[in-house]
Amino acid sequence: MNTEVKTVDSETAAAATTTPKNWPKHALWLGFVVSFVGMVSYFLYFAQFPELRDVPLLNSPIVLLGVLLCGAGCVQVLRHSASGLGKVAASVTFLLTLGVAGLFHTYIFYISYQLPAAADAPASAAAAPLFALQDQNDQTVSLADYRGDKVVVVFYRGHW
Amino acid sequence: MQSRFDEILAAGGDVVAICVDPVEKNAEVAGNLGIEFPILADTELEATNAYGLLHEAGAMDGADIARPGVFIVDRGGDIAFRDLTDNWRVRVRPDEVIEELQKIP
Repeated sequence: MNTEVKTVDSETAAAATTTPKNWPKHALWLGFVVSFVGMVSYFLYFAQFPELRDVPLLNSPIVLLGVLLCGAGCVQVLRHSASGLGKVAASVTFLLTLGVAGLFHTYIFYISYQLPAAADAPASAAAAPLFALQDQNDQTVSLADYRGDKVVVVFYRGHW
Repeated sequence: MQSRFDEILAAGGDVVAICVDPVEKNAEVAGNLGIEFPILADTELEATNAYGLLHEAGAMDGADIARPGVFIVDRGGDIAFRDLTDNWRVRVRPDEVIEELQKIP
């Protein structure tokens, strides 16, 4: 009697565990992909919207979500997997995901602040330094041309 | 900036962009982004230095570039407003530029 129940149980268990048992592996790589896409999509798309660029309100949570997902998968593998190689693979995937998240946030919160103080920039009410340079149509444009008009002079970093 | 260009013009301001990239590069960017205002090639860093915006080795490849800055010059040629962001991702919003432009006679 007992043996029968046991066999049925393991059979049912085997049949029903394809998805649930594999979820940590899916979570691992999916988490990495989510973090990676979260980072890349900021630069490729979302950074054009000032509200989402100045503080990455959308992309930072996505990247962190990826870390959580990957981490959950990793914890499961480390606890329950019989394969040593599997555990190493899981740990590496998680570390890579952490790396992506770290890279992204270091850029946002540190690297993009690395600007020299513009101590020599002309102050308000000072005469704006004159310049005469070529525009994209090879026309010479001089600040003096704008005397009598109001003009907004925007400096870009360049090297796009 | 281009999308609010018409409003900026309406508020009485012209727009001039300055960048250390050469004319060809600026023409490419202008074409891609549909930019109608002049983008000036400051390849010798003349204007960049005159405005105190030199960022030595600031580019990824180690080249000297400008750190970002926006100046509004009034009719008499004096600086009426300036914005020097401390983070290159955060630029002054067109709204603020328009507001400042309207304050100048």
